[in-house]
Amino acid sequence: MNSQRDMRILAVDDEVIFHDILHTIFTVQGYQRTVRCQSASEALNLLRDPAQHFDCILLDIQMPGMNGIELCSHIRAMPGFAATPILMLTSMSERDYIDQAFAAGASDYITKPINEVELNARLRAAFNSIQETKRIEALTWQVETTSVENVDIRFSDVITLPESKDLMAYLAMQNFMLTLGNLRSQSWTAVGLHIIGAAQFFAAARPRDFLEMVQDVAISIQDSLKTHKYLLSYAGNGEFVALIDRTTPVDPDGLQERLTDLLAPFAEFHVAAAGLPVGVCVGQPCRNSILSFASPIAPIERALRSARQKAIETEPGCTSEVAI
Amino acid sequence: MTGESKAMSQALQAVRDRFLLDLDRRITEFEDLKSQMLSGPDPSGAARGIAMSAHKIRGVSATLGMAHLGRLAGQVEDLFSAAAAEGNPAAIWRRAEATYEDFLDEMERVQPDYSTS
Repeated sequence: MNSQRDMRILAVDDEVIFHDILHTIFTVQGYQRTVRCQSASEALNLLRDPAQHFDCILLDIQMPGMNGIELCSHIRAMPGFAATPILMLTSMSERDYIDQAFAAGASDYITKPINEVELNARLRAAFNSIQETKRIEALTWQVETTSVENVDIRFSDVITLPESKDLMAYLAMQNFMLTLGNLRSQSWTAVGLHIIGAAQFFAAARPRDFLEMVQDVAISIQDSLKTHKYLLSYAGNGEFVALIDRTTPVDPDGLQERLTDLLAPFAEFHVAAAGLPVGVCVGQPCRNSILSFASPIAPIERALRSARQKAIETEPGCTSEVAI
Repeated sequence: MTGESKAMSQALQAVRDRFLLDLDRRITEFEDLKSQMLSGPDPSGAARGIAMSAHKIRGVSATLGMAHLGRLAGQVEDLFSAAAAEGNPAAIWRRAEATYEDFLDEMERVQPDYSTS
């Protein structure tokens, strides 16, 4: 697959005219490998068929029977579809459903009425995501099967953690906040979590051990946030971002203490792998103010900076500033 | 469609024609659902049906160059989906009648004139 136009795309929408529109746009734009269906059950049958393969899936949100959000959850639970780009087709009236869709595993969204420029841009992003997934899959295969000394992994990689369920792709999290816009994104508070010693761990340990350490931290964060409504992503560089519903505020110091306790049982393995235990610094919760013109993803970036700064203050010389 | 190229506009003409030819069927469907809402056993279900049918038109009209029809469809969808939970057809209808009639008028207006006079 050399370009986005080579993707095999499944479009699921119950409106025949919408399919005709989509087919026309796809044809004019040079997308030749598209398949349409009109219901969730039809889509699931196609996706379960081993003779079929789809690189990207477009789902209408409002459909009779199983809706697009439920269908998205079903697809994500199917083997082989954990990283397939799923783009939701939404009208303005369905903006309320968008956060549900992202929580169900959607990668991005396309707004109806459909615009050929926007459609192309979203599909390009989906294609780029597929390429990145392939690179990571190849990397994981290398980690599992070859001499780990030569594996091409970078500290900054936004690694997918296959064993950490309910972890959102970092790009999807950014898309989610952009979709919500300035006003609605204020209902989420971003909290950055920086793994103290991650860079040193990366430099000293085998890539597989680094991945396992990051996974240990992910599980601990999920455990410590289980009473909150949240979304969690790994952002690369030994850093996580949690978006936490503002109705269930989080105390960063309390969260950090809890994480210290939860990571304690892993310390022995981490010391054996890299010669040092890891800790987690939790930064200050960040949210745009109501009058802010800053980008909806600005709180994510500020949250990561806050956690990083706190790590520097806590353990000077023990952060990702180390050149890898 | 916003940002639509000339080639795209021409390619979409066939879809536009199919959509317009199908409008009579959709109008009949809306009127059936309205009757069910006012006198049938499941007024909320009928109201949801109207909202769903309007939703479909909302999603395609602007792309096919009928932005006003899309806006009216959006208003009808919002009114009937919000009202569906109430289960009070008379109240739903009082609130939504004018918008609903404007919407159906617009569906009739955009249809091609096939008269031979």
